[in-house]
Amino acid sequence: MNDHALTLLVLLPAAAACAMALVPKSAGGAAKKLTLATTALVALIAWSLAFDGRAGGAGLSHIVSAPWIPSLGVQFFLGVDGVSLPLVILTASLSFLAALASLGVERHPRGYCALLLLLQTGMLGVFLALDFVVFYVFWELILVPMYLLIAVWGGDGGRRAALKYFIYTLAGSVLMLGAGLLLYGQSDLTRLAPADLAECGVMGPDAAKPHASGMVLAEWLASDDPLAERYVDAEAAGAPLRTFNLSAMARLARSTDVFTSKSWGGHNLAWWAFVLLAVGLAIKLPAVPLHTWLPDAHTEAPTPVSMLLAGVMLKLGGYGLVRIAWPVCPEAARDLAFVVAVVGVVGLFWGALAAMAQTDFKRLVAYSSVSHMGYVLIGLAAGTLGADAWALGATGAVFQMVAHGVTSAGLFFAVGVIYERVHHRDLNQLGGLMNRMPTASGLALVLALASLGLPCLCGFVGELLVLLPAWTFNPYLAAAAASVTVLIAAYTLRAVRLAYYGPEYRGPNGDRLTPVTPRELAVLIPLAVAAVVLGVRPGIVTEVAEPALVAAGQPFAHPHPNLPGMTPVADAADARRTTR
Amino acid sequence: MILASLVTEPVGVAHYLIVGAVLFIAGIVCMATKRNLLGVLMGVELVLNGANVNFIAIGSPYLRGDAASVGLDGQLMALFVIVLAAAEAAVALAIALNFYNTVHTIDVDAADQLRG
Amino acid sequence: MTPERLLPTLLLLAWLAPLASFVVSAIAGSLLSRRHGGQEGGAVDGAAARTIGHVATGAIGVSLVASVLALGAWIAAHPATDGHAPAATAYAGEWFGVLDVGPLHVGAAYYIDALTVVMAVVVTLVATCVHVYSFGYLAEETAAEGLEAVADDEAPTYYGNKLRRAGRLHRFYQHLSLFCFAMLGVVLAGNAVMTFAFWELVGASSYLLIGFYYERPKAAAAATKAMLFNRVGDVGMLVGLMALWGLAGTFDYERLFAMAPTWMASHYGLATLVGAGLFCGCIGKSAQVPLQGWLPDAMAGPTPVSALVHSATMVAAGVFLVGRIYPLLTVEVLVGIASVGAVTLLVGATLASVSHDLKRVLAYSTVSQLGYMMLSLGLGGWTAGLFHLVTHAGFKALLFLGAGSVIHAVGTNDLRAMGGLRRAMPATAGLMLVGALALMGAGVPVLGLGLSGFFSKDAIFEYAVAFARTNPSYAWLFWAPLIGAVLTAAYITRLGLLTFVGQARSEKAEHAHESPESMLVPMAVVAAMAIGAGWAVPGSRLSVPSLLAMSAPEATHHARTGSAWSGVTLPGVESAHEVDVRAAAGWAAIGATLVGVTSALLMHRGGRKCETPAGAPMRQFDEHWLPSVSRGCDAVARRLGAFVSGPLDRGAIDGGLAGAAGLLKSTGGGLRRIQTGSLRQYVFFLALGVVLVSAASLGVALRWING
Repeated sequence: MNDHALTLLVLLPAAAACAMALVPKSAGGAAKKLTLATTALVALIAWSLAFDGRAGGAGLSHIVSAPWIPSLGVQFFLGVDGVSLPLVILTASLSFLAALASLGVERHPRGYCALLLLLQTGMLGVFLALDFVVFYVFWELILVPMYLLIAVWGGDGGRRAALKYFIYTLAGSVLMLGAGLLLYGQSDLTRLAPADLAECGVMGPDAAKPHASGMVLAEWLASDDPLAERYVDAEAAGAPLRTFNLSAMARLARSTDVFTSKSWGGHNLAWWAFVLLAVGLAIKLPAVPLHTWLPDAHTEAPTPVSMLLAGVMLKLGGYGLVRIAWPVCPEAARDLAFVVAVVGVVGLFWGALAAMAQTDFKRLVAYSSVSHMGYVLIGLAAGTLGADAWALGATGAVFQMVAHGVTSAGLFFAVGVIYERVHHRDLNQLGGLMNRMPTASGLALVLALASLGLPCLCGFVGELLVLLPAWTFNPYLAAAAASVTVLIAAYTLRAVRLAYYGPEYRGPNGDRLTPVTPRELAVLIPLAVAAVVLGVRPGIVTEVAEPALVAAGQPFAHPHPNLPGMTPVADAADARRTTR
Repeated sequence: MILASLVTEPVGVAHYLIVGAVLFIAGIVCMATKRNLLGVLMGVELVLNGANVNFIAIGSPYLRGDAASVGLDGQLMALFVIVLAAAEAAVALAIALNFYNTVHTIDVDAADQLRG
Repeated sequence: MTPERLLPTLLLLAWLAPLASFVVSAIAGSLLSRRHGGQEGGAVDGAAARTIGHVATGAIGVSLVASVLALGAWIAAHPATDGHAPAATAYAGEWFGVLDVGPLHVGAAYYIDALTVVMAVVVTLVATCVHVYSFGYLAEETAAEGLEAVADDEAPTYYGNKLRRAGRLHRFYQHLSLFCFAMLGVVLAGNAVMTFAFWELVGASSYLLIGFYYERPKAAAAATKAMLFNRVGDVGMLVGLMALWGLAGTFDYERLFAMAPTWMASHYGLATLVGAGLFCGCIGKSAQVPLQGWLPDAMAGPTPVSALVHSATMVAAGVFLVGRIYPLLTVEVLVGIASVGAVTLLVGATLASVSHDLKRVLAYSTVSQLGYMMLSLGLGGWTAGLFHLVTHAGFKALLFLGAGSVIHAVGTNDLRAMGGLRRAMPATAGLMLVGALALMGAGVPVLGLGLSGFFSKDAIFEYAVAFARTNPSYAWLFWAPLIGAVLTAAYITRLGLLTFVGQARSEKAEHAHESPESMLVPMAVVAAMAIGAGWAVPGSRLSVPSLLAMSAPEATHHARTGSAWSGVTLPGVESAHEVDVRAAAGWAAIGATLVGVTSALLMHRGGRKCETPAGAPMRQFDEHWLPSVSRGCDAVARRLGAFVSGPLDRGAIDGGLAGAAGLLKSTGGGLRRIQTGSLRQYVFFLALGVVLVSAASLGVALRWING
C-alpha cells in the first residue's frame, strides 16, 4: 500500500497555498499564521520520517506510486532514502524558520504566503520525486513562485535579478529535460531483472519492500496496473518499454548497455546526457561560470526568501547531481571527473575572492555560497575513484550541502536582522553591533565560524570528507582546494570585524538598532544549535546518507583501469573501525 | 506549343484550369493594386471563384472523360467555398464599415497600425 | 585501577571540566545579561560575573588536580630510570567515536605518554594561575553600565570621548574555559584529525580572547590577523593530513607510529611531504618565521591571555605537535625544522631587543624561545626541546604576569614611561627578576645549580654542539643559538633595567602601587615552577627531562642519516651526552649569557638610556615593513576579488549574455522592418509566396518525373 506521509508532505503546502484564496484580504495576519502552522506541520511530518525507523537506509521507503501518464510510463512516484532524508528535513525546517522570519512581511501578505507555500511544495517534491517527469514538474514549479517573490517582494533591483534568475534557471531546466528525454528514448524496462524492477518501485510500493516475496513479478503482471499491461505487451512484441523511473534508469546504466549506444561526436549517449545534466544542474548549484544569477538574486530577495534560496535551492542542483547525473551516467562522470573537479576548484577561488571584495554584507554571503558549493563538485568528482573515495567524497558533498544550508540560511537571517533595523548592509558603515545587540551578534559569530570551517562546527566535516579523497584524485587540485580555507577565513572574519566589532555604530539609523526580538531569536538559535550539533555529532547525517550513497555509487566501486591511483601502504579497509 | 495544343484540343480540364488561374491572378492583382477596400474585397471574391472553377473542373467526371465516377466532392467543395465567401463578405463589409467610421476613408493604405 | 584505565579516565575528567564550565558560562551569561537591566546588552551583574569566573576557575582546578593525579599514576607505573631506558609504552585508545564514513574513522581518541601527562599538568597549572590572576587584573570588568562603566582609551569614538561600556568578565572566563578545553584536546589527541580539530579550536578561542577588547580597532585587527596567519599554516597541515591519508589510510597515532618505518622505506618523498606539511601548521601556530607576525600583534589581548595563550601553551602547541609526530618526520624535515627554528630565534631575539613596548618585547622573546625549541627538536634533541617547552611555560608565564602587574600599575605598555618601579613594586620586581634569570638560563655550570632555564637551554646547546660536530657544514645551527643567547640575555636585562631600575620617567610610574595579592600569589606559583622545573626530585632521579625521556621516540636514541639529498646525520642521545660535548655546551651557554648581560648593562647605562643601537630602523622594519607584506597580500586578494566580481562576473559573463540577448533583439528588429502594415504589400508578398512555392513544387515534380 502507498504510505501517504510523503504525499501529505508535498501536497499540504500546496493545499494551504490554495486556501489562501479563502482568507479575506484584510486578514494578512491570519495568512501568515496559517503559513506558519502549515510549515510547522510539514516540519513535524518530515522529522517524524527520521524517527519512524524505516527511512534512511540504503533502500527507498515511504514509497508512493500511482500511474500518472500510463501511455508514457510516467508514474507519480515519491520515496525517501538516506540521501534525500537529510535534505527533506533541512527543507522542511528551513521553510518553517523562513515562515517565522516572514511574520514581519507587510506587503500583500496573502500572496506572499501562498507563493512561499507553493515554493515549499516544489522544493520538497524535487527531493522526494523518483520519476524524472515528476522531478521535472516540481523543479519547474519552484521557478514561478521564486520569480515572483524576488520580483515583487525584493529590493530595488528585484525585477531585474528575478528575470536573470528565471532565464538562467530555465536554461538549466531545458538542458536537463533534454537529457531526460535522451535517456528515456533508450531506456527499456524489459531488460531489467524482476528483482530490480521490484526494488525500483516499478511494481508498486509493496513490491519495493526489502522482504517482498519472489512471486512479485507474476502477481504484478496479473494485476490491473496499466504499466503491467504495457509490460506484457512490450514483452510479447519484443519492443522496448520506456521509463522515466530514476532508480530504474540507474539500474539500467549499471547492469545493461542501453545507454552506451554510440552517439554524436564519438561519445555515447550517456556521455551527452551527463553533459546536459551536469551543465543544467550546475546552473542551480551554481558552478562558475554559470553563477552570476546568484549574487543578484540573493541580494535582492527578501530575507526569508534568501534563506530558502541559499539554504535549499542550491542543494537542488547538488542533489540532482547525486541522484541523477552520477548514478545514471557513471562512465561519463568518471571520464569528466577532472573537468568537474577543476570547475569546483575554480568556483571555490572565484567565490572566495569575489566575497573578499564585497562591501554589501548580503552579497558577501551570497558569493560565499558560490565558494562553498565548489566542495560539492570536488567531492563528487573525487568520488569516482573507487568505493572508498565515493563513500568519503559523496558523503562529504551531501554533508557540505546540509551544513551550508544551515550556516548560509543563518547568516542571511543575521544580515536581515541588521537590515531590518538600519536599512542598509554596507559593511563600511556598520560596526560596533556586538555591544548594541550582543545576542544576535554572538549567534552570528557562531554561524560565521561554522561557515569558515571551524572544527566542532558543521563546516569542517564536509571539507575534510571532500579533501581526503581529493588528494588521491589529484594532489594539486586538493592542495588548491585546501588553500582556499585561508580566503574563506579572510572574508568571513573581515565581515565579522567590520559589522560586529569596532567601538560604535556610526552609520545611518543608529537609533533604530533595537535589541533582537524573541521571534528573531527563535530563528537564529535553532540554526546556531544545528551548526554546533552537526559539527559535534556529524554522524546524524553521515550515518543516514552513507548507505544510500554507497548503494547509488556501486558503479564506482571498481577502480578505473586508466587512472593511476596511489595505493596506501596499509590496506585502508583494514584500518577502518579499530575498536579497543 | 502548349497554347497551340489547347486551341486544337476539345474542351477539357486544362481549359477550365486556365480560366481558374486567370481568375485567381486577376483577383491577386486586384487585391494588390486596389486601394479601395471594396475593390480589395472584389479581388478576394475573384480568387475564391478561381479556386471554385478548379474544384468543379477537377471534380467533374464529364470533363475528365471517365464517366464511371459520380463523386460530388468537387462540387460540394465549391458550394462550401461559396457559403464561406458569403460569410466572409458579410464580415469584411462590417470591417469596412467600422474602418470607415474610424478613419473616414476606405483607403487600405491608411490602415497601417499593425506596422512592426 | 590499572594505569591504562585510570589515566584516560582522569584525563577525560581534566579535559571535559573546562568544557562544562564553558557551556554553563555561555548559557548563564546570555540569560543573566538579558534578565539584568531588562534588555539585551544589559551588563551581567558584577557578582554574577565573578561567580561565573569562580566556576571556570573551579573547573580548571579540577583539571589541574586530575592532571596531577594522572602524572602521579604515570610515575607510579613507570619508576624513574636514568633516562636511557627504552621507550615506555603509550596508552592509546578511544573514548567515543564521532565520525565513521567509508574507511575513515574519527573519534575522541587519546594517546597518553609522558609528554601528554607533563603537558597536561603544565597547561592546567599555568591556566589555573592565570584564572586566579585575572580576578585581580580584570577587576574593572565587573563594572555595570552607567557612571562606573569601563572606560576604554583605545577605542576611538566619533566625538572623541572615552568609550564607556559594561564589564564582561563572564565572557572572558567563558572564552578562557573554551581555550583550556581546546588546548587539552590538542594535548590528549590520539589521532591527527582530532589534533587538527582542536588545533583550529585553539586558534578560534585565541581569536576570541585577542578580540576580547573588540571595540578597539587594533584588537579586532590583531584577532583577525592571528586567525588568518594560523590558517595559512593550517593549509600546509591540511595538505599534510591529506598526504598522510593517501599514504597510510589512517589517522590513528599508534598505528601511524607503527607503520612509519615501512613507508619511510618505500615512500620517502611522500613521507617528507607529510612531515613538511604538518610542520607548516606548527610554523603558524608557534609563530615561526615567516608567519611570526601575528604573535606581537596578539598582545592587543588582555595580558593574562598573553601569559597563558600566547606564551605558555597555545604557541607551544606547535612544538608539542612536532614532538608528538616526531616518528613520522624524515631527517630532511627535521633539518628544515631546525633551520626555521634557528632563523626564528635570531629574528625574535633581535626584534625583542629594540621594541619599546613591554609586551612586544616579551612576545618576540616568546617567538625566539619557540625557535630554540624547534631548533632542538630538529637537531634530534626531542627531550631537550620539550623540556624547554615546560620550563619556558613557567618563566614566560611569570614574565607576562609580572608585565601585567606592571601595566596594571602604570597603565601603559611603553617602557619609556616606566623606570624605578622596584621601589613601588618590590614583589613584582623580585618575581620578574626570577623570570628574567630563568629566561637567560642563569646557573653555575660546574655545580649543576641553576634556574629551570639553565638546564633546558644547556640541553639544547648539547645537541647543537653535537650536531655541529657531526655535520661541520651546518655549523651555523650552533652559532645561531649562541648569538641568540647573547641577545636573549641582553634584551631581558634591558627590559628589567628600563622597568625597575633608575628613575621614574612618567607621572604614572611615580605613583604606581603594588598589585593585589590575588595577582601576586599566582605569580609566586609560576615563579616556583620557573625556579624548580629543572630540578630532580630530591633523593631520586625523577625530573621533568627524565620523565619526558621515557617517551622519547625510538628514532632519537641513535644517530640517523638522511637518505635523500642532504646527507645530514642527526646525533643520537649518546653523542649529545658525551662529557666534552656537555662541557662545551655549558660554557658556551653561560658565556653567551654573561656577554649579553654585560653588554646590556653598558649599552643602557643602568637603565638611563632606552634606545638600543640601530633601534629605530629595526622598529621601522618590525612595525611597518613586516606588516605591509600581509597587508599587501590582503590588498592583492581584494583587488583580484574586485576583478573577479566586477570585470569578470558583471563584465565578461553578464556582459556576454547581455550581448547574446542583444543579438537576438537586433535580429528581431531587422525582421520587424518587413512588417510594413500595408495590406497591398502583404498581398504582394502572398502572391510572391504562391509563385515561389508553385515553382518549387513544379521543379520537384518535374525532376521526379524525369527520374
